[in-house]
Amino acid sequence: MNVRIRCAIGVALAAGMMFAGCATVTQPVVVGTTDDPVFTRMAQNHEAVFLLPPHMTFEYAHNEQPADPETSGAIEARAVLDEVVPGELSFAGITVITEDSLEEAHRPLAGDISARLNEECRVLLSSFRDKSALIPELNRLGEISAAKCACLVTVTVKVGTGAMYDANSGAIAQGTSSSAISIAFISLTDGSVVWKNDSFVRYLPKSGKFNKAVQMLFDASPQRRS
Amino acid sequence: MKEFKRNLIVTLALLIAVSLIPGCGGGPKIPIYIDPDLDNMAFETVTLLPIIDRRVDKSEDFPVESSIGDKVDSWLNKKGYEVIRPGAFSDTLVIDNEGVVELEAHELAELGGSDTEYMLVVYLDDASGKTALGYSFKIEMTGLLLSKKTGALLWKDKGIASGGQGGLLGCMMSGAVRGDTMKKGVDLMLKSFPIAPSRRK
Repeated sequence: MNVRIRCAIGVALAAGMMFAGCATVTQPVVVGTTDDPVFTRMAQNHEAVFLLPPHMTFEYAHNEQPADPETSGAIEARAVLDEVVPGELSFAGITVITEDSLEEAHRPLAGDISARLNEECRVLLSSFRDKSALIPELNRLGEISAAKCACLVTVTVKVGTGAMYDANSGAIAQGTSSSAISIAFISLTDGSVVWKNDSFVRYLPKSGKFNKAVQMLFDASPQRRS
Repeated sequence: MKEFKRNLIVTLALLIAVSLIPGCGGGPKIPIYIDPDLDNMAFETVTLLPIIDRRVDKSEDFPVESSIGDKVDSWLNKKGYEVIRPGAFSDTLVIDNEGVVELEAHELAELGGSDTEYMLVVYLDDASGKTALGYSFKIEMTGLLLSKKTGALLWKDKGIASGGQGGLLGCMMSGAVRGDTMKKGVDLMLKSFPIAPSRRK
């Protein structure tokens, strides 16, 4: 074989081996543990949760100014949440109650309470803030839905720059967009956070990794572990 | 002849104006928020609270306080400020990183020691090292200057930096890439921070 061809093959193999050692894939990150006793107990007892509409915020990563939800992936995010969250909860064994599944007479009240709770999500998710003003509404929601907890999903999308590669200098850079997703079960009796989990992915909701990140919120599900 | 001269002058003036434009690119960075009276506040000492780590993904393990806190400290020194680093969020309040994350700006003003007047709060929002055909690092942080006396937010800005090097070289110099990107992030965040009164011309 020609010496030049041998050299070229050798260089290509060496380069391949060098890059092979470097390759990793960025995955979504989940905070909670897979062995979660609270979620497991709720799933095993088929407890009912009232699913609140998701609270989504879209902002530019560099200056915190509001970003256009439509171009930032609001439609895609909502589609994923609407499909994955009730699906995973039901699969785990938790009974999912939504505004539409209530008796028609209760729907307007449930809608109003949901909107108010959604506005106050920062207080609802807090571990130390005074929630007393929200307790009557939480209790009322519990009465009309017969659920023990409200399930609130929050999504914070930061729109940043894309990843970069400069072929001349070899400089590379990661994208600066991210989506943080949080799910919490809030007691309809006393407003306490009964169960919470977070996941994070450095992509916009348009990416398939967002779907994976939402699914990972339910890693504690006994069905997913078995 | 007269018209030729006039045209020549106009052309030269245009050329000079065009040649000056590239020099105007790097103007001052506009912060997310700045109090209009901040320039009139004559303070030379800033209390730098411990860095608040509010990352969701904390898998990137590095000493936050020495990596970012020291760089912020040195930046403030360069701008003419004396920096006090108390080592704890408060003298009186027992509060940890997880508790501090939930606080709003006016609540943060309750932190700091009794001798604190102006304090800088720095949040670490994200840090991510990625090894894929090289090494890249990304950092995101937010800074807030607060008046402990009035509880007012005086300045706020963010710094996001992402950098890296492709190939095996990038993998080998990951430490340098991290350090450089962190410095860039701090630089970007504090670029709009006002210079101390004594250093102003």
